[in-house]
Amino acid sequence: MVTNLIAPPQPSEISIWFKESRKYKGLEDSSVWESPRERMSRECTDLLMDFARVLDNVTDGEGTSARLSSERAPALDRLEAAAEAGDECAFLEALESITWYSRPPADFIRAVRLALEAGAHLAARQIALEGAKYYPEDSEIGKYARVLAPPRLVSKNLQPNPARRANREWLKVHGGEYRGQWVAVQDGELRGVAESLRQLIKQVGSTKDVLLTRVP
Amino acid sequence: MPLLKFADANKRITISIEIEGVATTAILDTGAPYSICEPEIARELGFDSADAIEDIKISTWGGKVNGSIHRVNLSLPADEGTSLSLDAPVFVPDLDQDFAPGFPPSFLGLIGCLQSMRFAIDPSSENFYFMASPR
Repeated sequence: MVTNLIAPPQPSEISIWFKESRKYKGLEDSSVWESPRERMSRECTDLLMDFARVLDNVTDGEGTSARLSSERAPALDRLEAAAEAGDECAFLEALESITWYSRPPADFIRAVRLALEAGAHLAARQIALEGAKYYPEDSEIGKYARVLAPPRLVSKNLQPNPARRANREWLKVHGGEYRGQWVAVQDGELRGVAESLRQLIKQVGSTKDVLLTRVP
Repeated sequence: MPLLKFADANKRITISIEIEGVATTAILDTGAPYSICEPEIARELGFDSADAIEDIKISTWGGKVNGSIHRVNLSLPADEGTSLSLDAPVFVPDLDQDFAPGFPPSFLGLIGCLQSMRFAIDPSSENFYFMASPR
């Protein structure tokens, strides 16, 4: 007996389901845990989205590529207005009304940039990741997705560096004497002071194990 | 849990970090979406523009700021316990903007950095405790 059988959505439901799915994902990190049922549901949706795009190509007289060309979409204009106003809520609301599967990569990129301007930073990430999923061959949207992806742990087994403590102690005790200036501190001793980081690096030469900071 | 002492006599939560291997300091700001790299540091390190989103505006509490987002190596060197190293996005403001002197310093923000770890702050002992998120 088959259990957990999920009825595929009707074509008219596809857009709604997709939007609901996006809304859900927008609240959480992309690495959110999925149950097997949720995963099957998402994969089913993705397959149907791909199918819908193929259908677009077949049934649309000029084909999807023509329809996806550079025509200016009113929905994106709403995103732009919200971004200019710095209105994150209006931006997210406008985002909900857009059916992304039929958008060209340039629209995803434009929406990511507008999301950043609107302060909708998680949405920017989600749009970029979604765009890269639909256009894996597009290097530009791929770059956006890569740059905005969640931070990735490179190493968590690095040895501690207690020598840094002396530099920090120096900053706490003497930092006030150098406000607004760049200082170089090594082993708890001042190595150089300058108006700019470039001048400071010229003074100290090697920056290995040297704390370089502008005193606030 | 690994810990780091604050590095600021004025009680701002300033900690030691490394950006692309260069030791500097950053202010912890759990309300900031992105980590910010001081533009002079970015310029001297010569971040690769091939792995960056350039010429963007981002919305901050202080208004809109022009700059670029780069993917960099960001390390938190622990005084005690194990240090962490992340591949993370940082926002680099353009240098040619009308900032107040000394602004912006480097910040560690939530979305681009702190979200990948568990952390606790003890202002009385001036300690920042952190570890990689188990997820």
